[in-house]
Amino acid sequence: MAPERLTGASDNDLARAAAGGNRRALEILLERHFDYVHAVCRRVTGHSEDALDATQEALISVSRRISSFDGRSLFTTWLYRVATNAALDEVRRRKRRPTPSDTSFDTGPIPGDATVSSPESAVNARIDIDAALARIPEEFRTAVVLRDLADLDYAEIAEALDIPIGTVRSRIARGRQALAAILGNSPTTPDVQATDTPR
Amino acid sequence: MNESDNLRSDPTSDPDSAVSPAELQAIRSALRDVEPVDDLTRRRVLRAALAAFDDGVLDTAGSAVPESAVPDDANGDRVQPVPLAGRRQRWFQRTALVGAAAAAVVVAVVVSTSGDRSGDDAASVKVAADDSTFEARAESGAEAAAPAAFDATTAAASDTSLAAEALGVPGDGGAESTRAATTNAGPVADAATAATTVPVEGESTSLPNPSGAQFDDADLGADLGTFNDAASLVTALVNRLDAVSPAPNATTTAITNATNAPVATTSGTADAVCPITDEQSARTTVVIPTRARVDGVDVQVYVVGRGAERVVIGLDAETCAVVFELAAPPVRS
Repeated sequence: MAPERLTGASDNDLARAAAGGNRRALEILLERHFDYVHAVCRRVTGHSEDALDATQEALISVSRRISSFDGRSLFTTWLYRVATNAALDEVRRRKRRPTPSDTSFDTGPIPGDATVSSPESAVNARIDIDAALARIPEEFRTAVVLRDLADLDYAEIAEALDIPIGTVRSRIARGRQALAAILGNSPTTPDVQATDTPR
Repeated sequence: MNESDNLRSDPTSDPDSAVSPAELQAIRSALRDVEPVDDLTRRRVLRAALAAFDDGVLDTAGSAVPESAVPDDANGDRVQPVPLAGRRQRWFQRTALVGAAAAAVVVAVVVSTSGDRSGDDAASVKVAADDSTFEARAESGAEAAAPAAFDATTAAASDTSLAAEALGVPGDGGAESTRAATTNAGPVADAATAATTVPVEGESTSLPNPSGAQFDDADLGADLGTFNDAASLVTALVNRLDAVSPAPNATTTAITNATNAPVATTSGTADAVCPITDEQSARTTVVIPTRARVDGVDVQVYVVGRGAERVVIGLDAETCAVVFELAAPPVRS
């Protein structure tokens, strides 16, 4: 693929070019998706530094395995699968480390608490969503992030997480309910136990 | 009515009816309101990723350890290269575990060859801490990257976490690594047994260590020799460690003791044997490259850091994907 055509090429075309050894194609791909990968890692890990490490791990993993990308699925599906797993790895590594104080999530104040300041503040909003995400099971959190942040459809999420579509739907539904309730947008307190609806 | 219809009627299974449109919009907005990554960090991460593409394993900038994606300077004015493990080190310092970690040696062996590899075997030996600076050199196959310095003290205190991370559950690469590890389980187990019996060719176990207090990087950087199998290489390595250890034969003894014992039991950790990803291998590989040939194939032996009372030997995920450890044997007083 001619260099001048790379910038406007599709993800999968770029991925194929990168798989063939085209470094510039890979660079464009990584730059194109950097923010979304970081966002996914940020929301799954709930921690800014861990998110950066996970982002780096994910992009390195993509770079090393791009040659194995076969194009049968969307590049983004593959990419977010890598990113999600890198983020979950980071979460698990963090859990294995004993913590003198619980700093695993940038939780800040609990949403809905009377002491929480104005939600109009972007900073507080970030704290709110971090705190809310920290309070829902990892499975729900991941599914919601992939759907509502990464815009993957149910089938793509099912493929990325290697779970049935029905489970994806259930997790997203329950995750959304939990988030809405925690964020104070719902009068009911959700059941956020990590048990999937039977298929 | 199909399954999808059934699910749709249940608000706990239908994402579209689980929350109101306004709530959904609020959730999405909040999720996407992620703090931006500064340009310097972004470039650093992209550079690391492209470097991985360039050489497959190691950073072309010369460091065998990927730099942390996290700027060391919160102000962002100047970012120092910080190994990924560096933040763990600082964390351990804060939690006062660094003192215990500074007393031993962590060794990793990355066998960057194809085919089966030995592995399920290692040992640890107490070696006096060496505060010198490691010369880290990235090598991939026959190509040697530019040298890069790595502060040994960074590795020293972080190795407890390094070991933990090396033993960690892998990510996306985990599936592949797990398969690889499973595939190599046979040779690994065999090699573990062989490690105590296979004669070692070309090794030198007579490295001078009159005081027993120093861990000479130059000694470990020497060519270990030529071996028939990876088990022999491991034996040579531990013999070399024994030679510079204040506890002679401790490493070999540990391997012998471990041969018939489950590694998990020996190490006291449930996940003592598990695969590692390329990334984990790279990030835990603080390199003193040592050359050897195993079964006619060039092998890289990496000594990484030091610290906890155990040795971790990591075998690259692309080749054999096994990490194993043993708790430290009793050290002779």
